Amino acid sequence: MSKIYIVSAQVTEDPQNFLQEPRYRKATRAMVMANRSVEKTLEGLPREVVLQNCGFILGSCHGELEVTMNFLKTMSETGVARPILFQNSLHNSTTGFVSMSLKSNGPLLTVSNLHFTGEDALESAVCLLKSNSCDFCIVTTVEARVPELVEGLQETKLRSQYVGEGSGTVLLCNEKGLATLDRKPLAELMSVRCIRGAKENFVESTNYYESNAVERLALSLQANDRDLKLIKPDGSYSQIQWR
Amino acid sequence: MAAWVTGTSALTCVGGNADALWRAAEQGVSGLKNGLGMIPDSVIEQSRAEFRENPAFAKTKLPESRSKELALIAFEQALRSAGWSGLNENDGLILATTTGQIPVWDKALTSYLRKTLSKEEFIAAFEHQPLGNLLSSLSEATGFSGRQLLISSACSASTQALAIASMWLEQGLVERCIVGGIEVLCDLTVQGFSCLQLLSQQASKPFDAYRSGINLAEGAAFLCLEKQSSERSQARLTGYGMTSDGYHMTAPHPEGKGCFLAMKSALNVADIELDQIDWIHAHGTGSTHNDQAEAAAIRTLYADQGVVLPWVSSSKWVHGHALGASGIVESVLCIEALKRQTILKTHGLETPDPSLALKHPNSNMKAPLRHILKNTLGFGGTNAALVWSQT
Repeated sequence: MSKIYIVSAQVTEDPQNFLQEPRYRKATRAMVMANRSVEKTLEGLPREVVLQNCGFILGSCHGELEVTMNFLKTMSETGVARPILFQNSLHNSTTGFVSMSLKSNGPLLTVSNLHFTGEDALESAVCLLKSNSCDFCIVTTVEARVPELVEGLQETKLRSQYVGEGSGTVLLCNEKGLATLDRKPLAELMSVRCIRGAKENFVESTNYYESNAVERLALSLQANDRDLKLIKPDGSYSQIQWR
Repeated sequence: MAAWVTGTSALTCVGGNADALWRAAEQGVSGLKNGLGMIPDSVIEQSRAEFRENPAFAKTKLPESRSKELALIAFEQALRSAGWSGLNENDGLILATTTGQIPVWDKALTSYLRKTLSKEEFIAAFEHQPLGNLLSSLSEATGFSGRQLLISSACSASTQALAIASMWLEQGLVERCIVGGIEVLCDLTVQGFSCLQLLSQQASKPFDAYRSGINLAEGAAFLCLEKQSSERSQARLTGYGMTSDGYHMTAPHPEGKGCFLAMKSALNVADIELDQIDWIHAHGTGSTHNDQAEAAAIRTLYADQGVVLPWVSSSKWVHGHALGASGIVESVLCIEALKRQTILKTHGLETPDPSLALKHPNSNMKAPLRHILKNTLGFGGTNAALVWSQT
């Protein structure tokens, strides 16, 4: 099996700084965050080389919750279903939006699996790269906080669920992809393991969100760490290793 | 590569198993009512009874959520069909859905925002919002903690799920894999597609010059995939391709660029030539954009290759469009077609749109069927294609 490399990794900035830009006039908060983390990850790389045969996988636990809420709210209040709200409410609409900006024709997947959403996105990318379905793969996770729901959901058993937000992106490639780049990778991705049913101690954090694995991986790479253990609210955990 | 199908299930608006789906498609019976394809209560009741007869699930309580119940029933039916007693730690489970359990939480959400619902009631309903809740519920109900994944890539979701399952088997990540697609009808999707002016009140007429739009439908179908052939093998999944258009949020690329690339990739993986494809089971939703893009993609695939176009048909007039589950529901039909060596006509097609320049069978045909190409195109420019081959 071919080796998998991490070429680049970044996290998003505050989406408020970008929401007014014309290119984002039809975009949701999640779309802006995802797009910004992807753009930052691709900065300084030969875009045409990377995107020649590049997959894109987006992971999100809640999807476009804010727009879904607005669609339902508008429909119940006015009886009118608005097309722009509907198209943006789909779980994979962020994927479609980023894909349009990439203008790539590679595999395009949206995955969602509660607290393992990020890990699943990474594992799916590894799978695509090993099967040579693409030579590069952009993996992005995103979660957007919905202010109207935060108050209600804060009283759930774990306050941090549902209320954190963020987006991270890593660019992975296989050996064939790496050979086309005139640069060293950040690391070789060794493994992504999900241990379900474990009983580790979860430390609550207001920055936590279900699909945060990719953002945390990007930050760990920037901090020159060599592995990442992410404990989930139910005590399950994942371990991502690189060298 | 090849993944061998040993078990199937299908709950659709025309019946509660693969055989019922095939009979409806062969005989030209549509399950659509007022333009929608709800799974009838009688079908669900019969399927519940069969579920309860399985001793392995004797202590399993069927969930109240329609999506979860359909998922569990279809899961058990596929397992029974494959002769699997359950899932092992080294097996895999992949689900595909776009709507998940929206009917469980959508009204609670609007009621909460209007302050007519308590926080406690809202939180209880909202637990069902993440799509992953459907997967975790199925895993818990079946005691499975192995490799699992949920794909939500619009109408290509379950086609992609089958492709990923094939990769998992090929890369030795799992010993066996069960793949399912679940879709239920809800106001959000019906009103949403309606406001995009895509819905038809009559049964759809794919590829027809007088097409009227699409029909949303429910569907729950699973396939059991194994690495090796056995007495139970029904068909082989030999090729897959996944691509994107990078073009539009809801419309496919007008020339079907991504769809063409997905089919080409699937043929490459299957390592077969164009003239070995005997039938293309199209996505064929009956929308103008889909018909034109898919037809253009098929024409491009065969252009200047010195090969005659194969038969192309769609079965959506029969069972409607089950969105994320459509790829797997229609793959069940492909598998049945391979077993019966029969190509289905496109019911509802009366006046083929001449601009599409496709070859449509006028009637169901007994014919040697070696390989079938199965397409799906989804919102966001998500395309996927599979090659289904005889055993």
